[in-house]
Amino acid sequence: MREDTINVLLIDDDLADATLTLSALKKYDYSKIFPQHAVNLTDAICCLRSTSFDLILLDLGLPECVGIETLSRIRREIKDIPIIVLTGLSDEKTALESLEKGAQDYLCKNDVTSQTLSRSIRYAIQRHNLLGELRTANGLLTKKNQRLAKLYETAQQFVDNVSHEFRTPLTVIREYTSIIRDGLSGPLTESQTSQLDSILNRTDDLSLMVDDMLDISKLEAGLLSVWRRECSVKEIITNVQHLLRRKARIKGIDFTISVEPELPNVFCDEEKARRVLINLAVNAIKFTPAGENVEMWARLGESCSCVEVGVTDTGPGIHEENLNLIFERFKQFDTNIHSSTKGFGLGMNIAQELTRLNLGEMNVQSIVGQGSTFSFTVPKIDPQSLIEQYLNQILRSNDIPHHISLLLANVESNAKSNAHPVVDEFLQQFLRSRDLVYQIDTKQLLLVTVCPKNELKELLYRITNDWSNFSKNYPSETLPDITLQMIGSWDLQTQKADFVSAYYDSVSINDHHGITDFRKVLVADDDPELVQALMLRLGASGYETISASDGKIALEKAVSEKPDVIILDIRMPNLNGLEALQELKKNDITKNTPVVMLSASIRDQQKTLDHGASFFISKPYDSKDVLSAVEASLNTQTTNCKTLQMI
Amino acid sequence: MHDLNLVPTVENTFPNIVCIDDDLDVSWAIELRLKEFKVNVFRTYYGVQGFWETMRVKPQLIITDNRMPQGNGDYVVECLKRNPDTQNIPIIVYSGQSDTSLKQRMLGLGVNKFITKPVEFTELQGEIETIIELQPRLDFF
Repeated sequence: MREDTINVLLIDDDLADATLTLSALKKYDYSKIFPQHAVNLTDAICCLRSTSFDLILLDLGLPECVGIETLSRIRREIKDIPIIVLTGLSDEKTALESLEKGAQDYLCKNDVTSQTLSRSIRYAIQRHNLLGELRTANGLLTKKNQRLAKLYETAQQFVDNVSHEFRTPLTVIREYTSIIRDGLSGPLTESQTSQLDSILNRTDDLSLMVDDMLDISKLEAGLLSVWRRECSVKEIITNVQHLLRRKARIKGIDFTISVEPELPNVFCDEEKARRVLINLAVNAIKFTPAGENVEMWARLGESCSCVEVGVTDTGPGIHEENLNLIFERFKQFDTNIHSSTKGFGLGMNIAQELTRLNLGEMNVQSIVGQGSTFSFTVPKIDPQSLIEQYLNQILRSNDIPHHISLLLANVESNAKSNAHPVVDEFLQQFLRSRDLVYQIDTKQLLLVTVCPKNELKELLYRITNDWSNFSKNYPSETLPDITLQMIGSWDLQTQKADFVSAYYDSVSINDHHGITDFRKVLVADDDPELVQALMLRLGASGYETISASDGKIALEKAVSEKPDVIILDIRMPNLNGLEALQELKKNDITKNTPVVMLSASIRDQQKTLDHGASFFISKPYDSKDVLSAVEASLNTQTTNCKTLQMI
Repeated sequence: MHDLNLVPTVENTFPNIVCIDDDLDVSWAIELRLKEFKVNVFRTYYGVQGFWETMRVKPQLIITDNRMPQGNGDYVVECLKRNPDTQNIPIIVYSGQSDTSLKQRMLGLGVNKFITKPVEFTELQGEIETIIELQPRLDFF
C-alpha cells in the first residue's frame, strides 16, 4: 500500500445509500481513496480480517445489530482504526454517543458530498494518528514518572538506612574515645588529650552531618513532623553548650553565652530548635578565625511576642550580595578555610526550614570585616503570640491555603491527668506541620488546620479512627476517648478577622457550651454494633451522639435530651420504629425534630414517609448516607425556620 | 580487646541494669562507664536473650537497642510490658534510629525515654540517674 492511498471500508446494508456514498468517494478522484463495501457485520469482519484498512465508514443500523452496539462490535474486532459513523436524519443522539464511544466523526447521510466526505476522512485519520502518538507519549511519561517515583523512594530509603547505620559505629568511636580521653583507661599527656578532643570533635561533625542528611531527606518528602510544646530557651541552650564549647576550645575561639534573665517559655519543637542553634553556632565557629569571639545569646524579641535566639561572631562577615544566597542548598563561598572543615552546605537551608516549622523567622546581619549575627525567633507560649506567628507563617508561604478551620478535641473527663501529652503528640503527628495544636487545658486541645474544606469530614473521621487504633495498641495504660468538634471554617482571604476572634473565643472557653455549630443526634437501634458504627461516623463529623436500644428509651431520650435529629430503626423491641415515629410526631417537644428511618425492608419506605419521617434509608446502608441524611434534614430544618421567620 | 578485669563482680546489694544491644562495643562502653558506680550491668546480645536475662536478674533498669537480631527492641519492650512481672521495670531505648514514628510507638508502649545514638555519655547517665541512684564505688581506682 502506498503512503498516500487510503483504504476505506464502507459498512452499510442499504444498497441505495451505499451507492451514493461510494460515488461521492469516487468523484473525489485525485484523493486516491480506495473504497470497499460490506453489507453486514459478518461480511465487514471478514473484510477486516483479510485486508488492512485505514478507515471505516459505518452505518449503525445493520441486519445483525443496531445502534451503538454495532460500533462496539466493530471496535471489539479491530481497536486501532478511525471510524466515521453515518447516520440518518433523526439519529443525532446516537451520533453524539458514538463520538463518546470512540468514533472519530459522524456524518448525516443527507450531508454526504464528495468534499465533506473526503475532508472528514482525512481529518479522522489525522486525528486518529495524533491520538495514537499522544497515547504512546503519555504511556511513556507515566512509566517514566513511576520509575522516577520509585527511584526517589529508593534514594530516600537509602539515605534513611545509611544514616541509621552510621550512628552505631559513630557511637562506639565516640564513646571509647571519650572513655580514654576522660582518663578511665589510664592517665594521659596534655597532647594526647588534645588529639583525642580532635577525634571527638570530628565524630560530632559526622553525626551532625548524618542529622542533616536525614532532615533534608525528610523535609524533601514532607515527612518531617513536629511536636511543638512548651519549652524553656535556657534549657535548649544548656543542652547544646557542651558540644559547642569543645568545638570552640579546639579552634581557639572565645565562646560566650548570654541569656536574658526571666525569659518567657516558648512554644516549639525543642529538638528542632536545638538543631537550628547547633547549625548556626557550628557555622560561626567554623568560619571565625582563632582568637576571635563567638557569642550565643537569647533575648526577648522586639515585638515581645517571641524570643530571639542567635549567634554573633567577630569573623570575616559576608558580602551583602551573598547574604540571600547562604540559605540555598550546597552553597558555600570561596573562603580561605581549609576544605576539610566544610560540611555539605546544607546547614543554613536546614536551619531556615526547621525555624519555619517552629513558627519562627530567621535573620542575618553581616558587615564584612566586622562579623555576622545569625538569629531565629520562637513564639512565646501565649495564644495571642502563637496565632500571630502562625498566620504570619501561613500567609507568607508560597501556596496560601484558602480555608482555615478550628476544631476542638475533648479529652474524656475521667482521663488520667498525664494522658493529654500523649493526645497532644498524637494529634501533632497526625496533622501536618502546617497545622497547629494548642493545649487549652488538660481536657481540651484546639486544632487549627488548613485542610481543604471538602476534606475536613474525612480528616475528622480519620483522626477518630486512628486514635481508637492507637489506643488499642497502647498496652501500658488505657488512654482516654477523644471527641472532636468542629468549631468553624473560614475563608482566609476574606474572613481572617472572624477566624481570629473565633480562635480567641475558643482558647478562653473551658466548657462545651457556647459553641453554635454543635448538634446532637439520637441513634436508636437494638443492634449495639450498628449504633456504635453510626456514633463513630457522626462523632467524627462533629456531632454529639446519644443512643437508645429500643423504641421506648428512644422516646424518653428524645424528650429529655432534645436531640437535633433522631435516627430510628424500624425493628426494635418494646416500641418499634414506626410506632415511635408516630409518638414523636404527636409530642409537642419532638414533633419538629427531623427523623431518619432505617429499615431492612424497602416496603416500609412509604409508610414512614407518610408518618412524617424526613428520610428513609434501607439496610444495608453506608454510614456516609446516613450522615448525609442527617445533614440534609438539619439543613431543611434551618431553611424552614428561616422561611417562618421571613413570614 | 576487652580486659579480663572488666568482667563484673555481681554485688547483691547493688541495683541491676540489663543492657540489650547486638553491638557488644556499645554495651561494653556503657558497662565501662558505669564501673565507677554501685550498679551491676548485665550485657545481652539480642532481644530474646535480653528478655530472659530480665526474668532472671529482675533489673531496676533496662537499656535496649532497637534494631537487633532475634527480637528487636519493639518486640522486647512489648513482651516486657505485657508481662505482669516485668511491666513496671523502667526502659530506656538507645537506638541509632531517629524516626519520630518509632519514637512515638516506643513511648506509646510505655518506655521511659527514647535516646538517639550517639550522645554524650553524661546525657545517658543523666537519664539513668532519673531512674536509679548512681552511687560512686569507693573501691574504684
